[in-house]
Amino acid sequence: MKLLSLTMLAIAFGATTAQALPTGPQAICTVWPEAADCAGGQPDCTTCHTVPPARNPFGAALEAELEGSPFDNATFLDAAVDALPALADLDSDGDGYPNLSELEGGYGPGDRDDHPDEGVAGPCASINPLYNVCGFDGRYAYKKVSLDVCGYSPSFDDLEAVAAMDVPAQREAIASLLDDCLDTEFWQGRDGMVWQLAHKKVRPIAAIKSGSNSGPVPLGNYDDDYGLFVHTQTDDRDARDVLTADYYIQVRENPTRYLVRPTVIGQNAQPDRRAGMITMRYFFVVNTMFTPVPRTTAAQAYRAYLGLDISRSEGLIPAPGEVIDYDEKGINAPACATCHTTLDPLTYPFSRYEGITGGSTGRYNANRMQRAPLVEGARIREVPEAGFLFGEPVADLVEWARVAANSEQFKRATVRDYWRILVGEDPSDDTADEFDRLVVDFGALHDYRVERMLHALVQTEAYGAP
Amino acid sequence: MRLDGFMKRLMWLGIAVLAVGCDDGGSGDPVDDMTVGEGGNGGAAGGAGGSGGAGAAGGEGGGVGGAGGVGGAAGGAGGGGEPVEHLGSRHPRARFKRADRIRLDFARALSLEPEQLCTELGFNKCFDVHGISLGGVEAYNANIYEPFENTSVAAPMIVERIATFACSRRIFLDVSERESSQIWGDVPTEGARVIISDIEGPEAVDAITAMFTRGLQRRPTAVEIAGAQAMYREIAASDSDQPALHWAQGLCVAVLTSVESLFY
Repeated sequence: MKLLSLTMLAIAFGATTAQALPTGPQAICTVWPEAADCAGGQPDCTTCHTVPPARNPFGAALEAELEGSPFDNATFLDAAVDALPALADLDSDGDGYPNLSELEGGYGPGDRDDHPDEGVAGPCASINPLYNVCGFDGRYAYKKVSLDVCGYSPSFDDLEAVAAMDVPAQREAIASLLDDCLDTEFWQGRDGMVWQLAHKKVRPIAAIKSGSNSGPVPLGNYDDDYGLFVHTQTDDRDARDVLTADYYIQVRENPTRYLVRPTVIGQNAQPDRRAGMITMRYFFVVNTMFTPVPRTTAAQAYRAYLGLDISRSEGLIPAPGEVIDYDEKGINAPACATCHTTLDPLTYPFSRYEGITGGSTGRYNANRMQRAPLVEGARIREVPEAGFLFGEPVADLVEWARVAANSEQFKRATVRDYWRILVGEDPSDDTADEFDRLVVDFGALHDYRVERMLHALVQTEAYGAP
Repeated sequence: MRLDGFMKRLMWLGIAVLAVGCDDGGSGDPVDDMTVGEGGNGGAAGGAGGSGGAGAAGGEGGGVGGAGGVGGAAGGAGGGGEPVEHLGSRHPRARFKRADRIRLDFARALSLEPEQLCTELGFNKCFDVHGISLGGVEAYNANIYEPFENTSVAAPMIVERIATFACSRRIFLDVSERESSQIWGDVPTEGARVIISDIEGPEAVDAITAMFTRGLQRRPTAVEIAGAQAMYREIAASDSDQPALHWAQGLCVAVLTSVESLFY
């Protein structure tokens, strides 16, 4: 289970208690910090819900214990903290495992089908002559690295040679192969694996591309975005540059090369106002467009680089105090405030960058909101530049990006991107420990270098056990 | 030639034709079952609307029938032999190689340039035309940022088509330029009908072995070699006008479109 939210528990109460309150996960982690999902994250909405706001048996049991509704953020947190201990020894979903036991193991206390599987983790003693299914299999991992990162199978002779090695030598051979593969076009070239990883972040549209192979309505050259992304993810580079770079990358072909440039034609953000991918011209073209309060832009940044999708109630960490409805969209309606108490303060720092405005698209303009038509809202011109990220104040987008790049969420999102490519699925209960270790090491040991992290990833049992 | 017997022989080989009609973690894959080689593989999954392959016969242990593809029926269990207890994967997550890896893998297996593998209508590259069906993406014009979770119904036919095209090209080059032959050039043939003079001879066995080491990165088992030789004899006994050619095509396509080749 991932981030967030008992949040929706509050939505579920909405019929009578009105406002959705995103402090539920915090309550669980306050009461039971040993819960598996509290290690570097928070429980997600399925802890208490089926499809939010509908509650699952655990959520229903918690509701029954709560007293004193309606709640606001603070009172709900207090009430939930008081109520949760009573649920520890109950088996709300009737699967035979107590709630707290399931939370400690990373299972859903409200999901009858999610519980420890006693049949899987038996002893691994049988013999398989072709694979070591009981642990890291060097031959298997070698072939997998070749396919995953080089794009093709190793030769029969190479595989035979690896099979004849002892395990330490196999691990060295895998590391050497990975080094070679990381430099291939398949991995870091145009439309290579890393480039493709950026598709969901860039969201290219050929019809509005400018530069080479431009479309009929050329508004922004997303090659610059792809170039910066791939550059930051390859060789010995700091992946945090994806959010903090004040330089640009020009993409050259045959073979693909990524050239650092202080300026690039069409990119308009001033050097001291640049923040990597989230101040690229194309990013504002497709996300901000003509919007005074660019919520879509902030939400995409949050989703693409921090792995938090507000539309899925992920990463809801409200800013303290009242959130003002500057553009009169009704954000303070109970059903809307759940997300907008996080989203709107998250958005304000993006409001000073021009959307689609011809020659100044993507340029920082401290007075941008002064041009906003009052039809957007009587207080539209009062939208502040300062906002909040993870509940902490940030003065502007450059600070927003710096806080984001140094966050736990950034590490987790970055490692998860590559875990999905190489392991082929999200971290599971069985692999959570190895994944969490990679996340910690990505900052502390690998100094935010993706390739160093990948070297560790391919040596894990999650990757190398067939 | 009588294709029914020919295909039956491919199925008997246990590596035949196509298994892409399931999702990436599809059952019947060799990594999951871990029965490859020793007992002969189980039959591969059926293609779209087709039927699953028969289980492999004999060997140390009978193979396990492959999973049915889209609309296909599962293959039956292999017969004969003493069962061999193999421990399966505890966390099976075999994945379809998808378009880019298949393209590079086929090219390397057959010593062809990727651009030479296959064309549609003589000029469209097959992997460009069929990329999305084979798990590719098209971000710029179709907003497909990630591969579909499952392969398409057409994927089995596309892979088979590409493999057939590419194998035929390799065979043509090997036969027409024997001095630079990669796989088939040393197999002795004779007569206007082009038959293989000694299917059990070292040259033929070398060709079979080369196809396996290139396509699957392992040597063929004795069962698989015998199966390939039996397949030739059946083709030669049919009304095929070029048994050697049809056998080489069949074996090459069977190896490249096997579950073991397409998943990892």
